[in-house]
Amino acid sequence: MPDTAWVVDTSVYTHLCRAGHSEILERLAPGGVILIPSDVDTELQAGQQKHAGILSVGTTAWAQLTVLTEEEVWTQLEIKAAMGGGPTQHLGECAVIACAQHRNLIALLDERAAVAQANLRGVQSRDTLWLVIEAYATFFKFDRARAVQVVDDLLVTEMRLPIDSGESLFAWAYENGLLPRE
Amino acid sequence: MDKVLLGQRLAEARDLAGMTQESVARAVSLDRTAIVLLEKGERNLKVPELVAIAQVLGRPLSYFVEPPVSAAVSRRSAPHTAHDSTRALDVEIDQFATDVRALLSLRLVVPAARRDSTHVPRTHDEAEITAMACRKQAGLNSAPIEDLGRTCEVFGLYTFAAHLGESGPDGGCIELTVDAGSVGVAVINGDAAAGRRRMTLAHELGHWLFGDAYDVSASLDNEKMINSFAIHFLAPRAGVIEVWNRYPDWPLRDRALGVGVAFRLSWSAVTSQLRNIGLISHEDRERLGAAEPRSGDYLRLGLAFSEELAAPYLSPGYVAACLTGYTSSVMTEAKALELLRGLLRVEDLPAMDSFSLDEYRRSFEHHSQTGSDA
Repeated sequence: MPDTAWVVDTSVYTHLCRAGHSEILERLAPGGVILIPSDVDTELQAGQQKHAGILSVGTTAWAQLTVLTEEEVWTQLEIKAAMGGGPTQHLGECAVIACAQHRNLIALLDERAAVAQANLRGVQSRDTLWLVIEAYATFFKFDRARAVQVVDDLLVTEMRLPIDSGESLFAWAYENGLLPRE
Repeated sequence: MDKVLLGQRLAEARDLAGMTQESVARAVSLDRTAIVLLEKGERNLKVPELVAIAQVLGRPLSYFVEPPVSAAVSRRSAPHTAHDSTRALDVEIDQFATDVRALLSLRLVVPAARRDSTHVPRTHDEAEITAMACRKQAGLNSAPIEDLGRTCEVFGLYTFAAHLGESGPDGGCIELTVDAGSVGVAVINGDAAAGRRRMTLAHELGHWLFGDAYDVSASLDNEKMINSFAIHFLAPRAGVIEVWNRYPDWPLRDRALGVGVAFRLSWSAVTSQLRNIGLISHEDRERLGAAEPRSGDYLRLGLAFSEELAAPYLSPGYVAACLTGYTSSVMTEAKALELLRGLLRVEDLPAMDSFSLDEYRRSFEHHSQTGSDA
């Protein structure tokens, strides 16, 4: 895994927190720190009203709040124009991509339209399922049961995944040629 | 783009919307000073604030933020000697071109392979020959073109029919070039009469095919030749004669009405084309032209003029590209609806595609360690 630092979007952060597996972010974060743009923090605070499991940024050592520069805000504006929607819709994703683009970071994103915008701008991105597989291959030490449990816990948070149970993760990946890797 | 250009566009859009700085400020709960500074390019940008202002001005955010389409910029600052162009039309062309560019960047629209060595015809005969060649290329026989917007897309020209007012400009067209190639972008006045709308689009197709989509040096002769191409493209000689001969017992005027309905032409275009191909005399043309038919004239003969290209209209390939972007998740619901300009509501959108493996392939790639599974 490259040492490039990460900047995380609301979806990735909240689903892992709500599933009780924020340690995946903490353990995998390059340099032990993940950046949270202020617009993402605003969305996290709104999410906390509904879901107590979402950690406040200030209460963790690994989540670090960041404010976009004026140049980054301009890029955020351009991405927002490409994503559409009301005044606050998709602001977090746009901030994450803008931040990653200007600071040469990796964006943690789940929304496919946001990933498409990241790709257009040459921004590398990873999603929640990537993080689960990475955890499995590193500090889970290839413990399938642990990875299966994480997926089951994510499904409880109503996360959109291509499988309906953790147990089917590896079978599904093999059936579809995603595993084993070359 | 920069803050100054963004400010200019805000001021222009506010002007077109007939609003004052004060009324915009009130609508978005800001001080007038904030709008003044924004229009001067001197206020720190806040994304939600700009989205709200764009909504009040009735324009998508992309209009204020996206880099201008170069051809559109040229057109906006060029003298218009041969085209009836207005600011409202230029704004619509600019916005539609920006939207088509967004679809191109997401590979939802592919650049067109344009005809090589095509130039503006020098004579009416050449215009007719070129029109026939283009019809053949589009797979058309001599029958009327049922869906002109779709036919234009065969040549890589995408169309938006905008509300530009009954007496507004007819339309315009530019070439949009990206790294991968070019497409044509046409905006026509969807408030004009049906026959005029079709003639305008066929005319813009001519501009696009002849490579002068943005045409600072357009001369009146060029315009005449492109009109000649347009009428032969819409109403080819063989097809017109076939329809003309369908009503041998009808009076001259009624036969002309029949041709007009079949090929969906304006009255002036019908009479001109009948004269062009020798089915009526100059005198007949003058006489017929002086008596513009009313809708009842068509109905009396059992003919109905079908509507096409009425505002708001988007050509079918453009619409399909927006919906494919939405169902394949590369475009948000909000953006798809924005690009569709009110053509569809949320409840009209098709179901999203089920998961594609490509979406998840990357989840299994580029991990730091290799092991038995991952």
